[in-house]
Amino acid sequence: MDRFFTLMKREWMQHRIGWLVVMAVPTVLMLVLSLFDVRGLKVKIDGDATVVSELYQLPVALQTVGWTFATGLLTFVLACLAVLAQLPGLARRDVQDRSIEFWRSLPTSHVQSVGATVLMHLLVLPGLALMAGVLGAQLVALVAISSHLGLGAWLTQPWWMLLPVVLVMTARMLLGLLLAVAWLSPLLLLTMAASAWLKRWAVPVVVATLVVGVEWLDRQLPLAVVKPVLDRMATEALNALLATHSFKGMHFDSPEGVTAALPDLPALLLRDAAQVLGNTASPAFVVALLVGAAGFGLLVLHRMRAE
Amino acid sequence: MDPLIQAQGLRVRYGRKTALDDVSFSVPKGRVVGLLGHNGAGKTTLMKALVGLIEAEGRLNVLGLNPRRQRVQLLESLAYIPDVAILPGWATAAQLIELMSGLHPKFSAERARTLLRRTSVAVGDKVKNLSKGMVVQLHLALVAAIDAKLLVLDEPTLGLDVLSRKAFYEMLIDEWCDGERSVLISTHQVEEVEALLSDVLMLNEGKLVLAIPLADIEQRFTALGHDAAAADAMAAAHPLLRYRVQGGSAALFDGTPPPEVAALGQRLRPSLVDLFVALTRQPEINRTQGL
Amino acid sequence: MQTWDHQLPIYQQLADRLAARLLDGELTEGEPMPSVRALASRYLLNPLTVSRALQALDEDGLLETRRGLGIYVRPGARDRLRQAARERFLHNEWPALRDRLRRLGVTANDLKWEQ
Repeated sequence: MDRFFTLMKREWMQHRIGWLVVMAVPTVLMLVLSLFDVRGLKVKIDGDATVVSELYQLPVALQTVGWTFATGLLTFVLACLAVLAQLPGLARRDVQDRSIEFWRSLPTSHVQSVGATVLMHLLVLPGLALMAGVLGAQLVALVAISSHLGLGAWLTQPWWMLLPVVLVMTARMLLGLLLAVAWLSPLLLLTMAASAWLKRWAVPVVVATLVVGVEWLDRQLPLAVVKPVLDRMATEALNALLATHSFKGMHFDSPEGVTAALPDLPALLLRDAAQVLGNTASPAFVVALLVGAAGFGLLVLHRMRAE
Repeated sequence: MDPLIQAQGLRVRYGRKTALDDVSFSVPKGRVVGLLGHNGAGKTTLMKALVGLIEAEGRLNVLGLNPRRQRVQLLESLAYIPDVAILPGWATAAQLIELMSGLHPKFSAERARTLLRRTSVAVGDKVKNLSKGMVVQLHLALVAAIDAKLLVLDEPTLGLDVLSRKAFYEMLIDEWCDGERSVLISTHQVEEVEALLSDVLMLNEGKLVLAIPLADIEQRFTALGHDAAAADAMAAAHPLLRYRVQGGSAALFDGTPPPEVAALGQRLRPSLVDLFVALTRQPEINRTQGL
Repeated sequence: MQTWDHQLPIYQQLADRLAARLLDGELTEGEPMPSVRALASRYLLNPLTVSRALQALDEDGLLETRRGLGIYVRPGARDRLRQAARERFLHNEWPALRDRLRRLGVTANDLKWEQ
């Protein structure tokens, strides 16, 4: 276990600058945004855009939640983009700088080594980025609210209500991250494996395979296979991340209405969490995990084969 | 005392090419074993088999373990430097010490720092900013801080200047020759390393052509220095090799030549370099001579 | 780095060099010999070779082992060495040199021994 944590520590040591940037940039951007004179910044509440209001006239608690959501989301999106951009390179990273021979001369199993890399970059680092975003958002909210409405406005928020909301929002997103990665694991891990085995051809080959699958294979078979599978993975991942189930069809009359509904948000999110967790009790999820495991196995196999 | 390495009938094949062919030897503790051979002779293949990176047919026992099946356990007591240019460039010496502390149960961070102080590498230096010689010093300091019973080094002095090589050999003797641990070092710089070795394993095109303690070389091989007059007689006795030495010629025999031939010359020390030339073939020579 | 010639076994060459150091006074009688490890490091030799060299010196009566303390240079070692070197010179090298001097017609006066 000690060795596994050290392997994870290595990932942080090697990539921390990039990740610290990912964690900090959205907060900094939002800070800058918040300092601008935003008299004209209007915020739409609920999908019908029936309620429009000036940002700084909204109830303060709602502003905080808004900043938290916006900054957290931005950080999270940036983190996901960073992961997707890095994924193909990660599988080849040690081979390219030849340090693979050094790592392989140490008493760590191949499974541990690959596992630490995958765990850190697919789950832990994006998760940390999300939490950093939420924390940074509080700073942004403090600066934004204080500079426009005074520090007192920020201090006198209903913290007893806000804290659970922010915490549950964060927890829900972390769960969403975990489940999205699980549902998308076949695609993610097979792409990594392809990158290890096929190097630069990995991404083109994967894309080509998917296109051929959807455009040609599905037409040859009595029942289309590829597209439904891709659709299912995407749907489940998005549900896991955005809790779309629970927000469908919600309607509010005014910002005060939204604020009044805030205390119910934690319970709502928890129910939603239960629902997405329930979705994993399906054969599709098991198959996704198995295929993902196959991708992982291919990565381990690649590391085992000495050059 | 069980030998640290025991190999019996090792064979490694890559497709149609046989990289190692029926190699058998054993390495006791407290030895510095030179694994000599030209490029492509099988040195790296043998070392990879010893540390469990590749599969080999035959029987192989390293520190009482099966290298392939018990690789992780073996690497806890065996330190391996597969190449000198493989330390991760992004890391500092301090970071590497920290990582190895967590990854290697027998690594001592304190010892590593002490050893590092004797080199020109500072704890905060990044690997990518170090010269090749300094990287080797760092790598060796890290490895010497492991309480391992066996050290396997694959051409550790490749591309190093004379001073770095000397520093490397000094560290090797100071840190590793305590009579309990053994070192297996592969090289083709035979002349330089001869004096450090206690045993030699010589590979030629995958086959083990010599496996002998250095102290026994003089008992088995005879080198006779002679003048031009005795040249024909020497040649007629079928030496392994004929070569030039300071002040004349010499002939190298496996065993003792007939007494009348021996009387014609003066006994010299059969050097490892000459044995190496005699028993192994340069791949290029094979091709140009159409052999 | 040290170079070792092709004549004698390396351990013998080391023994000779250590004997020379002894003769020069670098190694003092009654003092401990440098450790095997120190010698191995200085001359870049395998410790087994160093041990063999020390064994050769011991067989020549130049060293003594003091129990619990280590290997020491035997008192009188210098004289023994000088004596052995003298004998070698007088028996092996001198006759050939003397013949050569005679052939060249060099006399005792020519040698200017007193200077």
